[in-house]
Formats: sequence, structure tokens, C-alpha cells
Amino acid sequence: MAAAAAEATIDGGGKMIILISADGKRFEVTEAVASQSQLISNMIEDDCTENGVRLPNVDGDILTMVVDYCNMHAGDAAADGDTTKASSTEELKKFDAELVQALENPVLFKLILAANFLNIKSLLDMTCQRVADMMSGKTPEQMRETFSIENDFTPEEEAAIRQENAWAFDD
Amino acid sequence: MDLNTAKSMMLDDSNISPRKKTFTTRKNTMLSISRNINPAGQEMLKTYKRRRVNRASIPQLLDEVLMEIFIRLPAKTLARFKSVCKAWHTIISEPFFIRSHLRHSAFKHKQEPSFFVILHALYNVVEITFSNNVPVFRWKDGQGNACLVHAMDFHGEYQIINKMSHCDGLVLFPTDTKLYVINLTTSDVLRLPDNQESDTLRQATGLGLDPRTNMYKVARYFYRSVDHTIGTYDAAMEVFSIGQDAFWRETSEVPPYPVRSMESPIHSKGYLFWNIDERFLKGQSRGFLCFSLEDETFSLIPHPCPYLPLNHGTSLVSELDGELCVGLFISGQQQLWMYNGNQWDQRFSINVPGPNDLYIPLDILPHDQLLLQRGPHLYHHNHQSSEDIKEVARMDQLNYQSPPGEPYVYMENGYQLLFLSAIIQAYLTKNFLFNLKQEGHALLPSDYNPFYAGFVNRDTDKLSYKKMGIPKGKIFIINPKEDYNSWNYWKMPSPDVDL
Repeated sequence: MAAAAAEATIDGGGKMIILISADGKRFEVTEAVASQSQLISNMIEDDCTENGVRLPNVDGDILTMVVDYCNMHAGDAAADGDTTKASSTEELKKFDAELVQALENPVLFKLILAANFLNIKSLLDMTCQRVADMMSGKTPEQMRETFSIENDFTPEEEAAIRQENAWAFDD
Repeated sequence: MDLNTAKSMMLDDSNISPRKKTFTTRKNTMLSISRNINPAGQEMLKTYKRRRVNRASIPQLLDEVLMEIFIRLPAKTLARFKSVCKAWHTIISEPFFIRSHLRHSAFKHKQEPSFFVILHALYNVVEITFSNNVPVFRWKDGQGNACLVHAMDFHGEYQIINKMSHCDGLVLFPTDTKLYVINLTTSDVLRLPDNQESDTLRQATGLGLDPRTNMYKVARYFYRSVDHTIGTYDAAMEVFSIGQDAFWRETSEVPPYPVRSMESPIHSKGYLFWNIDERFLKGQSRGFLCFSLEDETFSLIPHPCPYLPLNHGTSLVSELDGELCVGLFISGQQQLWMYNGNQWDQRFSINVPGPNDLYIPLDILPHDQLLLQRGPHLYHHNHQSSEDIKEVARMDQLNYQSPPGEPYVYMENGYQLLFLSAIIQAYLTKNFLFNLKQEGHALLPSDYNPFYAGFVNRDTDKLSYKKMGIPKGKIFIINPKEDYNSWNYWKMPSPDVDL
């Protein structure tokens, strides 16, 4: 992590920002890296990042992933039309795939919540897409099991809803 | 969920734009901690919170996040997930969610464009009646295959299909007997009640979404009487709200202009646009009759080039990228003019030999390429390249497949090969009947122009239309980006209504 942050200092330049996780871990990143979070970008605009940015609902482990992601993608926004980035697009895709592929649901959900809270659109898109891919084509029973959801319909209610959406069950 | 609940859910969310703002406001508020919230913003925030109170979603995720995931799911999976639990049912049923899903779906379509192709087949080429089996295929831009999505059977209910139109994956399917609305996602078919004036020659019917109530409305312009000798007419508009009305309602305002019969109006952003029939206008400038689906009132949209000769493409009207689009032949080019709700803009120009060679614009593809149709041919147009038109597919030569990859066999009266190879044509194709061969002979003499004849007599001669009008709907290609609609809310009107 320290290495990634240091690297960012070199090629990103500019002011450094300290991010502080719920469990007190500190991450030093450039403004360019941190600005991928709309939340932090707004704070930078409002000049209130002086004493570090506390993120009370993001754990250190999750924030590590987020910072890794942002470091990898720091060039994205600026790279529009920059041909030298062509090769790294592949790398980025590979990095993104590896980041979400291996995650267990609880960790993936925490990452989604962090991406949502920090408002990092590309990370939110990617993680939500991953969950959607897992859900697609599944049955209600599988969903209840996977996500420990209690079925709070009466049998009659459930039957009525199924009847109404019968077309969706006719595989 | 009964019909009343369904209705009240829709009505509950009757005011769209504040709701939309609510969502964004909340997000912004959360994100810009130090920013002041204006009182209006606070009010919206409250509204949003109140709506969320009695929801318990899956423990690990916020509803907001769940919605981000759900908008990425196919409509079929979503319809199944309605029965997971009450919280999911609520999220998936909300009009706000459905609109978000449509938007996301449109965004995805932009990345990977795909279309529905509805194949019409003639049942009898001499009598000219249509097959009542209607297969729907999905075609992805650039592919040589089209996969069967649904095959609907209307069991002999009609003989003729008129030109279709669509909105959010719902297709208005007008025939010589009934008017149907088909939900391509669920393959449900709704038969609309009969009209007071059911002469298909003297009407022009469209489908669109009322943005205030979120209800799909079918609006039908019809003539009670027309006298061409003295140039007078008596016309009216009637509306059918899907999921609410049991009968057609006549609008309180009378349509102030005559419109062209049998041409479907274009839907754009909660308005329907009919081409004004200039034969009655006597020198007034041309334009479009605009009907607001929200308040059911009329206005006039002037034509972008009112002094252009009539045959230079004024009737080539379509929906492009959600806007009304007119294709005009001006100085050796087909210009596409688009109406954004306030003004006309000239957006594209395509080199064409003459006013009879105009293309139908189907969609704007990535990198500002256009997908165009002329007859059975589909083209890409790239205005940046010198070779500006490139054929990408022929609809009559696509490999129509039923999943999983088996060839689709079209069984109909021994003419099945013809149906696939010759009949699939665009509604503007003028020569399709000449291509129709029976045992090697052309059915019609080559100097016979059925299409033109069909138009000349359109208001007066039903028989001639029956023979000539059919090219109008030959192949119907639509953009299915809007997969999931609030069709799922409504049920068929109560059984005592004779449909």
C-alpha cells in the first residue's frame, strides 16, 4: 500500500490527502486519485480535507481495495484520447476482473457500500454488475437462500404474485 | 396485488420530476457533507425517507444499492424476484425504479445495439391476407443471425396488419379487425375495445407514455366524415389508458388540424406527433399535430422546411433517439431534421440520388453512426468517412433462428420459402409485390404500382387498400432498448368488458 501511495505521489504530483478508515488506518493518496470519489472531490472543492478525511463507515480492509482501485484508475479520467493508454486498458480490465472475481459476498457487499458512500461511479458499476451477474436467471428460492431473506408473504400473496408474473417462470 | 392497488401505486407516484430530484438530492446531500441544503431539498429528503421507512431489504445492502444492482437484471429475472419478499416487490414495482431500469437499458443498448424484427408473412398472396402467426426475432447489429424471441398466434382474428408502432417494448399492432397492444417482454397481448368508428382507412393511432401518471395511452385520431370535393371533414380524438380504461374516451378538445390517415404518429417524450394532411389546408404552412399525453391537449409544430416540394420526403417521419425526426430531400442530400421539444435541428445529411431513395433512420449507434433502412437493406452511415453508406445486412437474407440455433421453419400454405426470401420488406418499399413470384411468374404486371394506388384512394376505397396497403407493415424493426415497462402492473380490464 505504501508503495502504491508513493508511486502515486511521483506520477500524480499535486497535493496529498489522508484518508482515515473506521478502524483508524491511514492512507495517503494524491488529489487526482482521491478525486475519483465524488464525495472527496466535493470536499476538496470545499477545502475541508486539511486534517484528513475520516470515513467512519469504511473498514481498513475495504479502503485498501478502494485505494488500490483508485490508484489503478487514476489515469482514466485524464486519458481520454491518449493513445499511450491503449495497452493499459487491457491491464485495467484484468485488474478489475481479479479484484471482484475472488470476493465472497459479504466483502463484495461492503465494497459496494463503500463505492456507494464514496460515490465512485465506475467501482459501483463494476461491483453491482458482478452481483447482478450472480443473480441473473436465479429463482426466488435461490435468492432467499443466498441472501438469508425471510419470505414475508402469506402463501396466498405469494401465489398471487407468481400468478401475475407467470410468464417469468416458464423456462 | 389487485387492480386498485396497482393503480394507486402508479397514482401515488404521479409526480415524476420531484421524485427524480428527490433521489439525486438525497445522494448529493449525503455526499457533500458541508454543503447547505436548501429548504426544498430538505422537503424532498423527507419525502424520500418517508417512502423508505417500512422497507427491510437484504441485511447487508441499502435499498439504493439494491436498486443499482436490480437495474442491471433482465426483466424476466426481475419479475421472478418480485416474489422473493415484500421489500424486493416494492422496489421492483416502483415507477421510479422502472424508469431507472429503462434508462440503464437504453445505455446498454448504446454499447451493444440490438433490435426486434417482426416478420410478417402473407397467408394468401392472391387474396392478400396476412398470416396470424407473428414471429418476433432479436437481431444484434452486425450479425447475420436473428433469434426467435416469441411466436404469437392470433388464430385467424384478422386478415390485414397495418403499420405498427412501439414505445418501451410495447407494440401497437393494428389490424383490420382489432387493435392489439403486445408486450414483447412478457408476450402478453391486450385486445383493445372496439371503437365507435372502426374504419381503419380513416384513422391514425399511436401509443405513448403519459409521463405524469406513468400510464401507457393509445390515442386514436379518426374521421367521422370526409368530403374531399369541398374539402371538409369531421374528426375527433379518443384515448384509451392501458390498465385504467375499459372504454375509449373522446378528448374534450377537438383536434384542430386534419392528419394523414393510416400513418402512425411518432411518440417522443410524452407527446404524439401526427403528420398534418395538407390537402385540407389550402395554403397554410405544413407541420405536425402535437398531442400531449399528459393533459390531452393539442398544439401545432411547424414543419422545419415548410416550402419544400411535397414529394421531397415530407412523409418520411420517424422516431430517432427519442426525438421526432423528418427526412427531407434537399440539394442532393437526405437531411435529417430532429425536433427536441423546442426547435428543429438539422443533425445528419446523407448523399442520395433522389427523393425516392430516402432511408429510414432506425437508430444512432456508437460513434455517431446511423443505422438506416431501405427496403430489406440495412446500412451504416458514417458522416466522417468518405464512403458514407455501407450495407450491413439484408433482412430478407438474415438467418432466422429459433433458439437454440435451429432454423426457424415457417409453415404456411406452401409459400414458406417466399415468406423468408421475398416478403420481408420495409413499409416504404414500393416494389415488393413484383418480387413475389408464384411458380416462377410475377403476380403483378411490372407497370402496376400498388403502393401509389393504395395512397390515392386511401380515404375512400377500402377494397383498394386491402390490396395495396399491405406493404406498409411488411417488416417491423424496433429498438428494444426499453425492455421493462410497467405492463407488469396492470391486469386485463375486468372480464365483463367485451374485448
